[in-house]
Amino acid sequence: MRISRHIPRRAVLRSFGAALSLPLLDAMAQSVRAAPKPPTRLAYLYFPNGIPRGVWEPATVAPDGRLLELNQWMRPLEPFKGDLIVPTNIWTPLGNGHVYGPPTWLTGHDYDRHKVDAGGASADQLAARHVGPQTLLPSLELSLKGEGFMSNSLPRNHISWAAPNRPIAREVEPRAVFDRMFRPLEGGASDRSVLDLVLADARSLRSRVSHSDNERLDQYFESIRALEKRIEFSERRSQEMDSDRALTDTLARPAPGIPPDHKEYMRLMMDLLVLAFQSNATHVATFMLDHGQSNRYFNFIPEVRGTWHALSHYKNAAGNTADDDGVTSWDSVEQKRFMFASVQRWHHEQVAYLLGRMKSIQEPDGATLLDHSMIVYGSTLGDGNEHDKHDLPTLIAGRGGGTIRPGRMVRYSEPMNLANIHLALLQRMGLDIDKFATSDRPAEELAG
Amino acid sequence: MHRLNKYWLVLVCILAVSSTADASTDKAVDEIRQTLKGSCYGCHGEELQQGGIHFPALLADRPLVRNRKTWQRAIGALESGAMPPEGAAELAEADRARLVDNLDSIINHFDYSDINDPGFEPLRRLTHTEYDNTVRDLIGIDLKPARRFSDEMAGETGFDNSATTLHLQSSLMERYIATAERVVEEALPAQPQTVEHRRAFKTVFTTLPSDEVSPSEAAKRTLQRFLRRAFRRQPTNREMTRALALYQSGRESGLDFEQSLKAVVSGTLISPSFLMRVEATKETDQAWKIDDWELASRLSYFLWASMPDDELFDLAGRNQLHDPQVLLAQLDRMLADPRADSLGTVMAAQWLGFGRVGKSVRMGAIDHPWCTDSLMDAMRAESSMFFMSLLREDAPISRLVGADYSYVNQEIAETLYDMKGIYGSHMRRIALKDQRRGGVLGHGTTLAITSNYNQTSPVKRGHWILETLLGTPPPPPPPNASVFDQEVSRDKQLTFREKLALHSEQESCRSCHSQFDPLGFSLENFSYFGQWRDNYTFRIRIKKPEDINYDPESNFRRVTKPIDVSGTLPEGAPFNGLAGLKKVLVEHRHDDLVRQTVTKTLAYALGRPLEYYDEPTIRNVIASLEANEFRFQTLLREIVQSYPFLYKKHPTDLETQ
Repeated sequence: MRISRHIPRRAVLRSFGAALSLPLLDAMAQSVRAAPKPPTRLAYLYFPNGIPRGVWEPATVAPDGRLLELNQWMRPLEPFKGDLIVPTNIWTPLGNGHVYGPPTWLTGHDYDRHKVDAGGASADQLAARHVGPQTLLPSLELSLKGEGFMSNSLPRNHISWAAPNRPIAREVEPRAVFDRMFRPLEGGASDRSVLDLVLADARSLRSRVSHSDNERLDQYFESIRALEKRIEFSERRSQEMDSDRALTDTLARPAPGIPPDHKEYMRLMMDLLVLAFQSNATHVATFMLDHGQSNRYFNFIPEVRGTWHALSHYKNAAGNTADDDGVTSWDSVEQKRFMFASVQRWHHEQVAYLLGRMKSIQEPDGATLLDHSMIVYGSTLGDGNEHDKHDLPTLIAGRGGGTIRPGRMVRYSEPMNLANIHLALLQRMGLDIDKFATSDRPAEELAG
Repeated sequence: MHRLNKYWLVLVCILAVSSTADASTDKAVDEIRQTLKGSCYGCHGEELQQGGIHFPALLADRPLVRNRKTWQRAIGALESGAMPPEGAAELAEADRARLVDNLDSIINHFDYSDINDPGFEPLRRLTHTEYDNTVRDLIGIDLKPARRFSDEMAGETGFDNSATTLHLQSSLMERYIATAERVVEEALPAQPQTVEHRRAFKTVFTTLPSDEVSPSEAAKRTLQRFLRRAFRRQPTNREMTRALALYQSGRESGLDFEQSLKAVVSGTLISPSFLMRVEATKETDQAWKIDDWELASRLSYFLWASMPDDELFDLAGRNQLHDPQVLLAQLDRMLADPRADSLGTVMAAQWLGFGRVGKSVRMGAIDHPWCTDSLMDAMRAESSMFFMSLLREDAPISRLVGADYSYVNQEIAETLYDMKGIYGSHMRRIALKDQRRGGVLGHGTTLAITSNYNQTSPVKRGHWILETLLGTPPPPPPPNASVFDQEVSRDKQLTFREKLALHSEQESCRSCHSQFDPLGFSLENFSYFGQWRDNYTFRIRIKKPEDINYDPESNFRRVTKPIDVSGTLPEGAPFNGLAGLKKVLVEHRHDDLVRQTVTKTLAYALGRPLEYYDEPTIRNVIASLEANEFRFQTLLREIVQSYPFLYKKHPTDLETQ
């Protein structure tokens, strides 16, 4: 697959952390002629702790389901209401919440803590297996670095599973994400002859170890194969860019470490996500906006105090539950609920930023990157205070390359298994399947 | 033919014996199923799995002891009457008693005498700590390259060395590759200048070309030795041939002796035999004894969290390591080695949780300027040095709780212990005569990790004692628990104890809270980071912050209340404060403390979650401890000689499914 070379590269350079400038859009428009249909991209954005009941309900909906007005809490997404589907009554029948939610959200199975077993591979990984061979990286797993007591808990930190017992490590450092996509591998250990040596060593181990160990040894082969692919890509890319050497050196590589400002951090990761899709470094991504029981402070939002998880238990305003920090208290339940909802609105603002970036990028066929994408944004708890497993807040953005008709609220009268939505999206990624985990049918309603 | 007949005879006898036992168990399980179906499947059956309990699946998982903890929870809930809950299904008293009896005999009186399974330690990659230590010992220079890797997650065992969580992924592989190159460049520069570089050079280049030794012979000898250390076994001929070929191609492309070998060294650092703990398989469905090379690695990764040293390799090479006398002598030698400190900084830190201090447990630096990184480093050092003193001095296990000494430096002494006359940053042992501290319950680390941010949590502290220290966690709270009545919770002049007392007036709460509240309250003399206090201080706001003259301090009134640290154990023993708590734990809960110490150490040593078939090993170890005053070195000796440490067996199909 040949992507017109000058566009993604320039887009990478200039758009990094800033809006794309107009001359570049023109440059892109020039390549519209004879361009193949751009690929469909799939991303899942996870947030923890649920919502205060009601804030996910659009204010005005036409009789045919068209979204006329979102609500005060969803206002940051108002400019994108034509790009969104708001489904109601979503649930994951076999697991949800702070602990079981993350490992079940995309696998559609239940989670066994003792065996570290999420029941199956997650939807993003199935998609990655299918479309990954076309791209530099099969998929990208991003997360913001966790804070608080639960930040090294395995289930709370993993939504992407390569296999039932194989959670995928997330990248939390912007520079590391950037380097995986745009920097050649360092070092002579990636030399062909060295890789041949270790592959030969690994093959000779095959006969030494047991059948079940061989499955674990496969992980080694997989990771080396992924590397070989990366080397191939970067060689090809450097050939392509030989005439354009000046560009290589000006790539905006993020500073090492974690940006101290949370909003800057989140937006930088979103920039990288856009960059990955735009440059076709990958077509599949997951992004955990926090771990499943985040205790992060959002005191930088005006009028908000206390940790996120404590706020989610908004019906106790005294500040003395086990979730509270002991110093923060609230005047009333209403006030605490307001703050909890404000944290949600703040996240909507960041997601709006992401959607805005994607909408500003034109693809070779003239449609936008968002048009060619399917972004699922949601949580594994309904009402946070109740640990409610019903009405999981869920949004789907983008047109899936014309296969989704957004701008609507889709009401389900019976609880709708999220696996059915996963199935519908996987089919749109080209997977020839008619069942995913506990699904009973694909969610045809997305097509309208 | 004759032999075959004999074989059949034996088989028939075995079947006959086991089938009587099986038949009575089957009958009991059938009865259990009938009762559960009638009264419990409504909430814990195919349709609903309240609390994650799914009885049909649990009943299918035989023997039932495989899920012992879950069944014990069920027995507890049935005995206390918590299940079935009011308003749910009926369960006649006679049926309840029969159900409890049946479960009790199947679960708590399971006959382990026929169980003979050492389990299987799967192939796994090194943990980040093991990787750092192994690179250090292999190359001879401590670079701690894994600092750049992403955080390790702990699974069910609570230890990060469990095979269930140690997977290899391409993102990590990329870091291994980048690291391999960097380590070789940093450790083996062309011109070694420093002492460290010269040591690294000597560690890797064991034979140099000379008048007597040709370069290719020197390369061969160097690699033979290096690969043995890197792979933790003898390299095969093919592996040697391939490594030498890579060296040779380096020479042919114009690199010198050292440069060519360095390429092989960095390649070895990404070889599967280096990055992963690999044990050879055997074609048998019986248990087999692991070989001496594998034993050397099991020993060194257990005791040192690192690779074996030359002495262990030499013993393995001579096939002597498994000799019990040799093995025990090695254990003594290894325990005395500073590398064994990993039993404190890794094993105990992950078991007791003090590794979290300074990471997820820390106070904001602006509001708490005393909470420095150096303080938190010293706090962790206190706990790990204390733990190592127990091992190296062969202390009885009860000293973990009952000790009358600890380790401090000036910062800990002044900031946490309110102690004068300790100078300097180095940690030293001090005797504690006033009974205020001593033992792991008096450590700043323990008190900090069991607190909420800025506030103690007697509930968490009590829960930590039951779950982490004693291995007897209370059942999880019922779905509607943990919320105080609004009016109670908003009353700023009630102590937490007074609020909890009001909360626990409900019977459904009291049955559990009475187990852990008294334990936690006895530690209330320690603040959320372990400082001593005699009174609670409340800050009562007397003006609204909207007031134009708002001044955070002058608008609060301070109220103090004395702290009540008295309590009674559920079985009735009264106690007071930490000193009293230590005494009752040692007197009344010694069995639990010992069993938990054995269980945790064994799970760490094996690098896998323990299963029901490990129970005979646990019992053997405990029996030996009983005969040896419950001393820590007996524990280590028993573990390194235990059946699962020395043997392995393929998992049955049922388990691999």
